[in-house]
Amino acid sequence: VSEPVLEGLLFDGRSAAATPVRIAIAGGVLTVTTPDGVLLLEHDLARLTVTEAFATAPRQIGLPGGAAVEVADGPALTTALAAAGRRPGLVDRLEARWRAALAAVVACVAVIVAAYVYGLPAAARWVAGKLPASAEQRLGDGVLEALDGNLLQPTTLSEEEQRAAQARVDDAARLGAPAVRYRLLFRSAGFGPSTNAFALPGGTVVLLDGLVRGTASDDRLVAVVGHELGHVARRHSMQAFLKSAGVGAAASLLWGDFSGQAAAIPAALAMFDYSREAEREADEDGVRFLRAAGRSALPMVDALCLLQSVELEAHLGELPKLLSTHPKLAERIEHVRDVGGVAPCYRCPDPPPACSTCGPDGEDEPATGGPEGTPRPGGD
Amino acid sequence: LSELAASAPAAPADAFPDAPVPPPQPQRLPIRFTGSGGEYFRIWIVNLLLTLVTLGVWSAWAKVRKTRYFWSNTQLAGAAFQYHGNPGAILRGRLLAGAFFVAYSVAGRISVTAGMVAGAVLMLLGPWFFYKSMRFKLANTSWRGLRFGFDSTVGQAYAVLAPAVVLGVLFFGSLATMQRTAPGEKPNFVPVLLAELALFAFWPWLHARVKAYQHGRARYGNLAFELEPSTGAFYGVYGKTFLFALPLFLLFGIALAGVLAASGGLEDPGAVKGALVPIMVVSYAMLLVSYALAGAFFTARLQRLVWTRTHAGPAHFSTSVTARGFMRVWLVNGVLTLLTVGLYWPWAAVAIARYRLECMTVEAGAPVEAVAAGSLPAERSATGEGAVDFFGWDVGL
Repeated sequence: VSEPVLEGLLFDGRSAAATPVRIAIAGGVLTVTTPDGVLLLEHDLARLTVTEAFATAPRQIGLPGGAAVEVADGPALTTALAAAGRRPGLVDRLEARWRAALAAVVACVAVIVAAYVYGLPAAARWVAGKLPASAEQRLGDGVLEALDGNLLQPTTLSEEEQRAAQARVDDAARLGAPAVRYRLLFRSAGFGPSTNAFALPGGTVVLLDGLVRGTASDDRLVAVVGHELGHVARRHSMQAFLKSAGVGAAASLLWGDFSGQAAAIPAALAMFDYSREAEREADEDGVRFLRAAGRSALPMVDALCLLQSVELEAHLGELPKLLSTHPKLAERIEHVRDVGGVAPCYRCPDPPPACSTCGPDGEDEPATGGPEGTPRPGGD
Repeated sequence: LSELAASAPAAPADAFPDAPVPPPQPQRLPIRFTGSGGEYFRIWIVNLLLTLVTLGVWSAWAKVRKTRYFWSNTQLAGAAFQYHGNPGAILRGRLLAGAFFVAYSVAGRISVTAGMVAGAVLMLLGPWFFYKSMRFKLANTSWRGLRFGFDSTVGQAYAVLAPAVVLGVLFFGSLATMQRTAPGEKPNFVPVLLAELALFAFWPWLHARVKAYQHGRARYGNLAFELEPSTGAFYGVYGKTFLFALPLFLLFGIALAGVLAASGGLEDPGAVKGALVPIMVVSYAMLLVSYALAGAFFTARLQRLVWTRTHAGPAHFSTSVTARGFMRVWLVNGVLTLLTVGLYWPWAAVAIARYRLECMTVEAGAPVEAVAAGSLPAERSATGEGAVDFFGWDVGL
């Protein structure tokens, strides 16, 4: 079999002139001749560089001293080089195969999903743990400023109502979470029902007027604050913020553009979009908080019931996502009931017709020795 | 070379040997682009995966491979272009630019003053980045064995871009004065308005200045490129684009008013709230379409303006791109990229490159062979290139 002869153009690197040449590869040696067969150059193939193998593009062989031979029929050169034992690199070979490309699509999706599901939360937890408290505080202050300017309005609660709520929370927190530093703020939502509360990075807990009014005479407020202090102690909002910032940075890197970084508000709002796991942890913290403060878990259940009834009333979806934070409330109610030792047949007291009793005798008794079964609050 | 010969007018067969030699006719050399969307998709996705699993390190190699793909598939007069960027240098450049970027974002979070200082430093470094990036791009591109180049100095870059820096500082300074308004106090819009007016008035002039610099300092071997003075033409393109876009945006306003009226008018906030999603969808789509139409018009006009006025010694350039052509390519690209959640992107990139490149023609007034190598030094640092990639400042040729 005679070795293949390829047509090419020889560039000397000193002018744009091109000399038509023929090249042959045999025995690890590249031979460059004129079309008439006059030998021009001879080089050891192993010492030459060759540009990537593409499907149709010409390939260039770099010669010592800045000269180069360009072979218009790139694929033919690829075949000739392979016959001489010089196969394209691994990445070149992957790029040439449709099967590899489809596998890469699947692998890319898998990597992105895995990074999102496992890598990002772990990284966020690690960074949140390393950040100094002052950074968290500053971030929280910034978010509060942004919210105050846009979504929140000054509270309509009287001084007295505020003081009463503060005192109730402080009393419980002294026993329930003595190590957590927090600050209560009262605000009213600019729209929609305001039966909610949320924690900002740095330990600021914002209580909305509707919640404070609706729970003025019972421990549901304490339960809600216990839940929010769980978020604070576990730095959930910081982690959620870091996660969304990470997604933004990754997205803008993928799309090769960093202007997405300018839109920091979505990242700030995402910090209230807790994962189901984070909510579950905070609910358990709320129960623990209540217990430590000498109460039963029942107010936690009832607080969740209250949120559920508010959410039902407001037709899901009409609320901006920010303030309808708690998904899957039925599931959470069930979980709190289980960990809190509330009777499994306990149902939410309000709007859906109450089925609040256990048996036909109408007795409602928490299953554990929770302190003397707090009376179930009447419908409010 | 065969194409060179083929495109030269054949001498009449019956010409007498002693007939006077006709003056050399300029040779029209079309640019051929042989890339394919399918092949580029494979390259793109394999390199995306490698970039992901190496936490971004591979991105420098990916950039080189992708650039080489486009250049190797671009042929002029039977020879392809080659890209010689060194991935290691690009990685170092990207890391440095990344550090700049992180410092800049962190400074903004620490305090407003620190953020402004960082912004000012970045703006002052801009011309240097621009200069280094131009050098890196051109010095690492070759055709027929000769490198392109950018024959300028840092001082020239600063002199050319000084008005841009001044305008930028003015604009951001005026924004800062608004920011510092005490709560309750009425913000003073006059400085911002003045700064914006100045920006509008000088923008076409600045653009012409930067293009003249970019094209005027470019070299192929020892052949210098030049862009004829064209400030007036730049004002013309911007003015015509404005006139072209005006009815589009009027139409957009009327359509929006129509949707509002159909949803019950502004008197009934409840109805408007219900129609919020359709209103947002309609206005976003229309804004995008208007922007794309005006953008296509502007891009086509600008390309024609710049290339018809650019020449390199005896070689002249021309392009037959049209607004309609850009609109067609962009529309197909946009719709298919959306429908395929981004997977169509490589085909889109190839379609844009093909349209732009195959519309170009080079008229060589003298044989290309006469061009000799230039004496510009090689550019090894990719810091400017990294910054340009990172901050999305790519100006393109």
